[in-house]
Amino acid sequence: MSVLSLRLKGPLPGRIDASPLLPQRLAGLNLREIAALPLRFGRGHVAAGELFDLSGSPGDTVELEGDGRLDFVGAGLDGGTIRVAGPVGHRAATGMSGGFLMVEGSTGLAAGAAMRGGVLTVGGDAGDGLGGALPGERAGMTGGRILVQGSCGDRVGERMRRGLIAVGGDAGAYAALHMNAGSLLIGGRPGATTGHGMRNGTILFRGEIDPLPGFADCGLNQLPFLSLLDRHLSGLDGVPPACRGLTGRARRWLGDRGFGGRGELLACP
Amino acid sequence: MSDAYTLLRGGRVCDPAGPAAGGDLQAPRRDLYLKDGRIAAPPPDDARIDAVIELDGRVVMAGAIDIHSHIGGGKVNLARLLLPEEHRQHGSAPDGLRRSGSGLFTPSSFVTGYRYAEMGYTAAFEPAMLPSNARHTHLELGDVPIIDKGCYAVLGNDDFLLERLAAGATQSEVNDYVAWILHATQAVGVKVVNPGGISAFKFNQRRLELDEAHPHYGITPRRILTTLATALSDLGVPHPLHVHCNNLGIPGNESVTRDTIAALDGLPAHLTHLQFHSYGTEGDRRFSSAAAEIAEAVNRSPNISVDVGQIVFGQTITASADIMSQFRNSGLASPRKWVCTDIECDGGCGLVPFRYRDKAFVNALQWAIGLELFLLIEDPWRVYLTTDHPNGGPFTSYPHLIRLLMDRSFRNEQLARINPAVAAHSRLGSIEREYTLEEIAIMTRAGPARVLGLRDRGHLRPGAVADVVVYDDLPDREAMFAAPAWVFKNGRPVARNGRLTPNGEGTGWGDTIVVRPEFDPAIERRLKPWFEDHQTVRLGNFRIADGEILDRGRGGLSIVPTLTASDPCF
Repeated sequence: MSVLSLRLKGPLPGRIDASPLLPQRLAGLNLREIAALPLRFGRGHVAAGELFDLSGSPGDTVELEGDGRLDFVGAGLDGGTIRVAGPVGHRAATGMSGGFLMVEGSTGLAAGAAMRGGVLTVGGDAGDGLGGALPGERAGMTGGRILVQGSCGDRVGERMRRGLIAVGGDAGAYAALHMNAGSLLIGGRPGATTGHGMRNGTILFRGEIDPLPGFADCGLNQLPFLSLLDRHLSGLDGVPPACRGLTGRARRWLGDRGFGGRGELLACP
Repeated sequence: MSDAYTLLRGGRVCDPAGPAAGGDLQAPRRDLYLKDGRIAAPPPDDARIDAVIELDGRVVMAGAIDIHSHIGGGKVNLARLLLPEEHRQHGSAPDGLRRSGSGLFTPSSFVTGYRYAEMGYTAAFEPAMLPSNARHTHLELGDVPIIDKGCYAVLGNDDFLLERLAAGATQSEVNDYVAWILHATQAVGVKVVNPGGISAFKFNQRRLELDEAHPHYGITPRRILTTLATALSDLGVPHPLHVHCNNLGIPGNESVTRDTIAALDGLPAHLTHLQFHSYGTEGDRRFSSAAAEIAEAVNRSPNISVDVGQIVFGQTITASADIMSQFRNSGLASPRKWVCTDIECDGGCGLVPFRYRDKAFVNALQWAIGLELFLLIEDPWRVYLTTDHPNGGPFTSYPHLIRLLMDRSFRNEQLARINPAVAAHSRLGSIEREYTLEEIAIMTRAGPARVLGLRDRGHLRPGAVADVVVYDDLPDREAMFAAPAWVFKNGRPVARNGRLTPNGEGTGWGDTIVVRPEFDPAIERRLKPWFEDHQTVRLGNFRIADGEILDRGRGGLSIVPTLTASDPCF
């Protein structure tokens, strides 16, 4: 397996668009060509070689030293692996359709937005709009998996249609806003107005909640599906431990009844 | 001001509004002299000539004029907001000359100016400026570089006018109101959209015939239409009433279109995006072309000019003040999202994204109907090239449309590709007419200039604004019109071979074209309390001052002279 490493030469001059640094795109280039690759920077461009020291050989894996001002990392990724040591900026894994993006640190806004496939793992926290919809789009995430060890910001899983998001820590306000389908697992406490406008799908969290008035309380249940889900999660790498250990007992609400109301909130002890 | 001339030497000048036989391409080559931003008469021998550009027999025309293109204002902005994916996909970066921008069928203001100039268009008119949106529209058009622009104020559904008409206002009171609006909103004409219908929609009416009384005010579209057309005629506004007829897009609407022409009874008027108003109800699908009947009615009525609103296959967005038709069509939205909204009780606004499909019978027939209109209306002075941008397609498809009009075999090739039922339902395939270059010059330049009353644009006589376009005479007319060899705006070269070109002065800004008929200011005594009681701004703040458009020298104002009794009427 060939690995290409990009190590930061120094502090970045500003926000950089790192979307060209996809393994499959770089695989056909040699190190000199990669160093000359223009990366969008403000109104102009800067060569990749001016920002990064390159080593290794281009192949199906890219190792990147991260920075909070490195935007669009893994945007449009459709195969291969990107491993990031450190944080990344906004819009990581936007529109990703396959492969792996593993971020050891935190991510900025809209990580995994409009994702269609593949796996995004985040070691730290995620910002607002995790797994959400791009502005104006009718659908958010339509496939793939997002696993976050830390907490996430507002509007996680907005307009989600399919796929799995698991967040180890707390979630912000408006989680799964206008969700159509899919699963959102919150290991910590959900924020305000969780599930507003959801038509279908599942939001699972630990502990108690006072849901929006659009949700109907269906009482305590023993749901066999939860142990199947737990077994499925045990087979995956990187699932936050707080999302594991589902016994099948859950308090269930159905909603949001203003929007069809076939979604469910599950509070699992 | 310099006393030096620029000489464009040896071009074949196609100038139908110029001196006799000015459109004859076989005529000897003619030299054009440009000076101080104007076309100049041939100078004396000792005059200083700064630059000589050899044209080697290339075709020279005046700058093209788009008479109907939604390029700014409230609804265009809503359209941009509704389809951010368009702007994500079509971005353009700054390059030292150009500023950044985005969009294809709702381009940002800068991109709008660049694209028009690159195609040889030097003026475009925003046809649907609601008076309450006028300031926003002018601010946005102020950011459209290079080209000249103007706006038509939308009247005919505003409660002030409807209420005054219902109360029995005299024609002269309406005249004063119309003139006051033209001044206050810095407009060059008046458009009426679905007369009475937008207002009726708010009273739960979903269709309004020409002689159907408005559910609240009790007046008919016919009354609104004739009152406004008479007002513009009385005031001597050169551009006659710009009419968007009732029942847009409904099969069978050709009757209301013909009734509208008849109702105008000799009053000058411009019927816009006529393609959307030329539908019959024949055939198994109850949808047919009535282009022949409509074209005949237009041919018989010398008081009527039209633009076509041709559709182009592909994704676009329909943006119209006609909330009645937009609400009806909202189920057809593709992608599935739409907006219909009231704008300050002044009018309406509907935005429905749409994809015209060449395999769909209805869309393909719409395409054929538009072309039939172009080809069956005999007088090119009265039919103008538009797609009703962005409703039928983006204005960037004009070169393609010109080729369809000029090249019969290309047209029939395209006809063979679309839904096969259309060739059977349409007479397009049997029409042999091909537009000549001179006719194209009329329909894209001289004609629109004449119907707008632009006396110093649309032709190349001495004294005209030096908006000059030079084309390579290519057999592929699409390529020819997409990338003119040279484009001059106000005598300065702005584009070369279809790309903007640096000329040492940046891209520059065009003028805003307005009209200012005389009126009795006493109308403000009635308007002032109306504004106090019903509007969001007061009358004094509503009026747009010249300084707002001039913007410390960046913008310019160009005032169209009103017609007097001695002027030949359109």
